[in-house]
Amino acid sequence: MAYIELNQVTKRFGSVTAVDRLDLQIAKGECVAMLGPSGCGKTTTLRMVAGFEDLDDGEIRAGETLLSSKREKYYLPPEQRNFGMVFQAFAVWPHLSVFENVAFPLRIRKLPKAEIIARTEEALKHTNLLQFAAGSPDDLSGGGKQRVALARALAIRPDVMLLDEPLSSLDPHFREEMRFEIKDLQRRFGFSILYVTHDQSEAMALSDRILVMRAGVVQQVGTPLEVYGSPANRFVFEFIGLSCFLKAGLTPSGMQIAGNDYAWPNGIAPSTEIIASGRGLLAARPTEIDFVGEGGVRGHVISKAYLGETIDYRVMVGETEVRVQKTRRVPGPAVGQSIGLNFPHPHWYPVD
Amino acid sequence: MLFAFLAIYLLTFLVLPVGTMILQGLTNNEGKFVADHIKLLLANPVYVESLLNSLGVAAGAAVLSAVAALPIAMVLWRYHVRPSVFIELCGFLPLFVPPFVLALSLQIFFGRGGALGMLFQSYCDLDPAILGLPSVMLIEAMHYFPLVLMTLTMTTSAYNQQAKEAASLGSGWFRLMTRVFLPLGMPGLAFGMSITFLKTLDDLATPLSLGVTNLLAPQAFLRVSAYGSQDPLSSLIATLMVVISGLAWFASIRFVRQHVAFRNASSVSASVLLSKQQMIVGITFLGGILMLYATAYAGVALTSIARIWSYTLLPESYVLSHYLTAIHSERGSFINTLAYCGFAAVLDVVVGLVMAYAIDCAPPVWKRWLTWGATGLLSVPGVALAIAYLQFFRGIEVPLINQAIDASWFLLPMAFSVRGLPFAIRACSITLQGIPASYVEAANISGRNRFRIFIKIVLPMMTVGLFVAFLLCFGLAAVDLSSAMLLIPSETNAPVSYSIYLNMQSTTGRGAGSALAILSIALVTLSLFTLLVLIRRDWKTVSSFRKFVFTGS
Amino acid sequence: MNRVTIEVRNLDFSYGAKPVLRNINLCIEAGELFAVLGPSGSGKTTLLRLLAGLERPSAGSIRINKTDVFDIPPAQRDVGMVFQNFSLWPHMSVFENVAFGVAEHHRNGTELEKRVDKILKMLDIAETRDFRPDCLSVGQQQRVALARALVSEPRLLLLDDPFSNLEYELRVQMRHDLYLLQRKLGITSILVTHDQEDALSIADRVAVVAHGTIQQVGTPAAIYDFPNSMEVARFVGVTNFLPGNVKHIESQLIEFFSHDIGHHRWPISRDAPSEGPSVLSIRPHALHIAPIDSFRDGRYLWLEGTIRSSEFLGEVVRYQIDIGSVSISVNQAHFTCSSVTPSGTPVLVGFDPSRSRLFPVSAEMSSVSVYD
Repeated sequence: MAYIELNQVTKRFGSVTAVDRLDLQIAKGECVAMLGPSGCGKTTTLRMVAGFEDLDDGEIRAGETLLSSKREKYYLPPEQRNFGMVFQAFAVWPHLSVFENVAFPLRIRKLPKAEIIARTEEALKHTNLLQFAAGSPDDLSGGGKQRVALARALAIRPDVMLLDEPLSSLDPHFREEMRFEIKDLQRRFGFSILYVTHDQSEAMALSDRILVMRAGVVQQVGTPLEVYGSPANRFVFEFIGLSCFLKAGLTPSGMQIAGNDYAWPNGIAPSTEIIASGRGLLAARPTEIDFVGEGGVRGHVISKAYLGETIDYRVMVGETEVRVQKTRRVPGPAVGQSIGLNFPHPHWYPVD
Repeated sequence: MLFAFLAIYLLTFLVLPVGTMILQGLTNNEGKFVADHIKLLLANPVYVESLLNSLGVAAGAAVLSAVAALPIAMVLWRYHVRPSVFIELCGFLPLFVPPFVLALSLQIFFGRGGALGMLFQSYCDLDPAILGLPSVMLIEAMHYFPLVLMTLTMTTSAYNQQAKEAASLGSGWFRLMTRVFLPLGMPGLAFGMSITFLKTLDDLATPLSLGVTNLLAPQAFLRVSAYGSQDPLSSLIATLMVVISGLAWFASIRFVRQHVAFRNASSVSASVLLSKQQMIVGITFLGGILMLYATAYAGVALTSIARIWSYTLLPESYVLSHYLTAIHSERGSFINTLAYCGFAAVLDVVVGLVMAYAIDCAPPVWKRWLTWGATGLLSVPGVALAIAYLQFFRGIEVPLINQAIDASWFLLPMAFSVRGLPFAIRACSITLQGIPASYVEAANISGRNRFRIFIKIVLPMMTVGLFVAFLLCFGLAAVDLSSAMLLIPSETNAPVSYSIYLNMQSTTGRGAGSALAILSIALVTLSLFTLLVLIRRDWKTVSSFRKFVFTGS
Repeated sequence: MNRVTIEVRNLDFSYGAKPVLRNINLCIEAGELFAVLGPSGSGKTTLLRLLAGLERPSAGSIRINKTDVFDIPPAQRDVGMVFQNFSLWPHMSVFENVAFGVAEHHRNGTELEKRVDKILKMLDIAETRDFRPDCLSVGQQQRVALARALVSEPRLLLLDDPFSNLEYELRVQMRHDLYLLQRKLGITSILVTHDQEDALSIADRVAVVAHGTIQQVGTPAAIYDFPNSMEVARFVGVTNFLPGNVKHIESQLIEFFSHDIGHHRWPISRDAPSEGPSVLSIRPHALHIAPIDSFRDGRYLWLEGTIRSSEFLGEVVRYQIDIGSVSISVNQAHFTCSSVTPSGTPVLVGFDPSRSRLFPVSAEMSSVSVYD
């Protein structure tokens, strides 16, 4: 059942359409990540849901309640939406203690004293901040500050948590830890999450569904596995996970890459429309390319980089560099060696 | 509503008075534009001479201070000596100490009856009052030299550490100086020089205390004293000063605004400890400069504790009675200073905040003009503003106290506040920019009460910045003698700086005046120290402090 | 080609009374790309500055091509250096910035221009020649800094964390470019970095530095597989730590006991671990997940656990698995069409003991967090 509903939401800044007719449903307790390069409109969308921005078209609802609507010129102010929000730059007020930071939203809502204290302590407990309650947030690390921001958002018992790149100002080491913590809080409190990030691995790790955006237009909505395994277009393929591309000339009987002709091996041929256009882009994940001594698409290895568990090979196929990643437990080719590449799971995209 | 208040303030206390003054100088009695007054002015050789002298002295002081500061800044740069924040702040002391104190102190030393004057008397006469114009120029240059040095050091030190590395890896020092140091230092140099130029042009007390009158500011002052505020020639002289200042300021702004980069300045150098060699160079040069000024002010310092000091190398007996006299008899002027400058500074912070907010919200085209105008305020000389006020507010009765507005003390803090406004706006806009939008949004999402959010969240986050702005404006107002000398209705309404000036003019008051000066300088240093403590607490403000000086918005 | 070897012997350095580097011994081969990896404050940048001659050692010697360089000023050491924040002059164009690095005697008109243009072209930034640095992208600025360091054809290239200002994608690209360039020029290079991926991926050998001393020197694979201390294991790569106790049973057999995983015995291949409280360190990649009822391959040690949560990361799926009271991370490669095992499933976790490491710990340390 959809809880938050965005229908045909559109936002323009001058002549630029920042968000173009966006549709999205978020179920209760679901975590949806909006993923895209900077300037794709994901933050604008989040701010429209929060109520900081008006819409130029469409409407946003939460259950039966209308939040924003262009047609009815109706905007519920941010504080009445009962959403928690966490910002990239923490936005923890430095002049208030950790306790007061978390209590402030409750104080401003004029809750009874006893309830303010109870709720604040509860939020601090769940974020492991109780022992720092009296201290200044400035004494905490980046991860600590972000936990204060989380606790502050938690204290109002939000229906939806809006997270605007909450991990990108943290040290890589803390990111993973915070990720677990956010997941854990969601399990315990059952709020929905709308999460904005430009980091695909973060989006995949955390969310139930991912919405990929580019220049204000939704490219694909799906589970991490769907988005990774069956990308809707070339952009999604390239944006999520590692990728490499090879230009190919196509005929019904085979393909031509870097001047060499290859007959279609079993089941890797593209759709007939792409074959009909005569040219196509062969795309594959570097982890899903195999080395073969004989046959395959021919190239030669120009470098080998060691990435802990895997080895990152760069193979020149004609003028194009192809990345191949293999576990180093299996012996691979040496630098300079001529080698064949097999593509067991190819994706085909038209050449623009 | 806030913007209406802002507009009324600016119209009443800046645009209309200065506008009327300019018109007054350019029109005849029927309100027609005529060149009569200009002809009159040009026909009088005294004014032409004053104009040329003013230009010469101001430009000379600027050039001299730059010539002195450049080699020292180069040496400091060469040895990677980065002055501490406190020393950097000390470079701004000249803005908070009136230059005439230095003039009087030197006169005590080199004057006819002074210790060194006596010593040299047989060879040459070094009395600053006899030397006249050159001594005004020298004193102004010496007074503003630390400012030029520090602004120069501030712009170049951002690249200090890296300059060392790049240089050590194969580049001659001469090449580094001409290709790197000078271009990098240009904004600081231009800023320091233009401030020196504007302040010297505007300075009234220094030439008067040296008995020099053939400059524009004293001429305008004398005309107003002699012929009253409606005198068109004084308006014209004041207008001339506005024009010269404006031209000088906008000529320099081109240099001030070019590629100042503070990136990584603090992060690079903060952890680097000074080597022995660097320490020696730093102590020699910065210490030497400090000693020079200590000696220069020793005249005033010694006078303040000397029973009688005349025709001897050093005073023969010492007393503290001057301090008691100063505190006792000048209590009124201390209270006046607190009241006027405090009022002006509070007004500055409020107006500055509103103005900074307006600039922040304005569309880009407006933003440029507003910022331009805000810094352009710097080029309204105090003398000119005072003359404008005297004309514009003449004879207007204030309803409640039944007194003419130009006979009350009211105009004084208003003039101070207008003079301090450009600084207040810069300080406030940097403070405002220091609060990212998300901090306010984080509050907005949790509750409606805007007023409470402003009081509980926004204001506390700005405290340090606003306090810095307040101190800055207070300090500037306290030494603004150029407008004060014209606007003070009576001696009982005088602020401290004026009392110092008056006391020092008479032989009997010298001791008390000196004591007063020493007290004031001590107070200023103390408030600078407070500033430092505040800044230390919040490192962000240090870079803001640098930004404050150099970057447009 | 002007390849040089570098030999550092018993090098000490201190700022006043504060020791920064202690007893550093290094031997860097001609044409090698050598990485110095360490956390911030470990003294790695100081080591670089000592090599460049920007600091003087308190004790010990540095020899470049067998010549002691103690008395040679930086300008004559013939080194190029790239700084972390690029330190490009804001008031000079790209050309002028690069030309600034050309040594005095090469600075006559046409030759200068030829040299600068050549290096700009080599680094693929010829089109930015007349731009000011602040108009360039971060990646381009990085290249300009590199061009400035290389323009006078130094014998030694020093890189001080040059990628730390770059975003991940760009970082990977720049790293690869640097590697190809270094191989092409054959210049002996030293890369200082805090990022293990930078060091492991392109360096021929890596020195791990912490607390002012070298912890380990070796090829990336050696450091990754055989870290010689907990410190190195924790800093290089991700690893699980399981606290327990080690006992020697026979000459080639040890027993590891922990409350969480019970008693396990395995033969030791390399140097014998010491007895007593220890932690077992095992990489998430070295662990396999199998259904709870599957055949237990005798080459592996098998532990029983329950999947607590999983994260799909594209190329891999990371599982958190509860075993007894501890939780460990397991990475499983993901391929198209494979699925993610749901949370709550009981599973077997197996590992080859030869891919684990045992580090002795003092008694109070054995309660450290297991997942690091």
